[in-house]
Amino acid sequence: MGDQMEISDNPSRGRHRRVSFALLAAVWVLSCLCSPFQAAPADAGVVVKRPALRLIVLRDSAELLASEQRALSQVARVLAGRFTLDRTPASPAEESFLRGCTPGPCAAKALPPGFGASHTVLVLRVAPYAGEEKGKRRSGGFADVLLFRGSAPAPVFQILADNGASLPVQSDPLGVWLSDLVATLGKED
Amino acid sequence: VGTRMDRLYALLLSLAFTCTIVHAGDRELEVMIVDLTPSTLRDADQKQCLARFTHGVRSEARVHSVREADFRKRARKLDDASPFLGWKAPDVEGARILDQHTAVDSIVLVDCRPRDKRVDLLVVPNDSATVRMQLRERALTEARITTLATSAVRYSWVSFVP
Repeated sequence: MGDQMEISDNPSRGRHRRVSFALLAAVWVLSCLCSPFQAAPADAGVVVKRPALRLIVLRDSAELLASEQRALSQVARVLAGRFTLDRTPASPAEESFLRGCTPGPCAAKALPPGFGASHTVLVLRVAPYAGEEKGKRRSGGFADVLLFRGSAPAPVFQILADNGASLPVQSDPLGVWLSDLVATLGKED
Repeated sequence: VGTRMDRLYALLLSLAFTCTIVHAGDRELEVMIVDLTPSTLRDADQKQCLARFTHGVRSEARVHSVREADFRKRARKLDDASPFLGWKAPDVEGARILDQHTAVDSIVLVDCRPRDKRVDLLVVPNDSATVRMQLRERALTEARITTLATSAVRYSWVSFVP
């Protein structure tokens, strides 16, 4: 008790501690502000009709690897948080049409029937396997991104990547980026 | 009281270290931006578009803005009038080295035309691959240009070596 009285009675030491406290608090607040965490939206209680989005995955390999499936699930989960997501796979006619858009420009002059029914369509192309590593197939990553809006037979936005420039499947946060991309670039003027 | 305060300081100190992400040996991504919009289309809106794009990239990388003439000289593209979206990575590799101390990680060529509602981008993240981006029929708002910049940076990281 005597020690405590001595501490609190020493004005210089008390001031030193207050300054230290303030500095530490400032460092903590600043570093947390710089971290990637985001606060929840303030209007969480407001019901907003989410725009419709169809996600189509094109793959150049026979089957998706587990890592690719995980990455696509994560992307779909994020997109579903912002859009009413439709994951109907491409029909043969739609796949044929989309293959005609890579490496672009789209060969067909009209969209396949039903393609634009959900108004905005996001297409992701999974690149072929990039060889093997320790006996396991290695993902080639995500190559092309196409964004269709309305009845135009050409994407309003497209990213066409050579296989050597594909995004690795574990790119983070891929879903958030794609979600922003659809929301800003796909939005009608 | 003193012991409690000491514990509080220790807690704050540990939180500060936890929240501060440190990557040992990391360096900034170096991106070269070259404006390849035809000179006849370079007006105030176009300059604003380029400035916004550059600002968007700069928020995530170190930017080296290079004039078209200097770029073409280094890339040996002086007389090449072909659309730059068709260029291959080796075509522009000569421009990657800025000086004896600096080689950029990625080259980003930009054609920004607000009046035509279109943007073309060519990202060259390594010496063998390219990424072509095209936006059509969209007003070039600040949000859209920022999204394009973010996308260009995302692909610029593809071959990054710390």
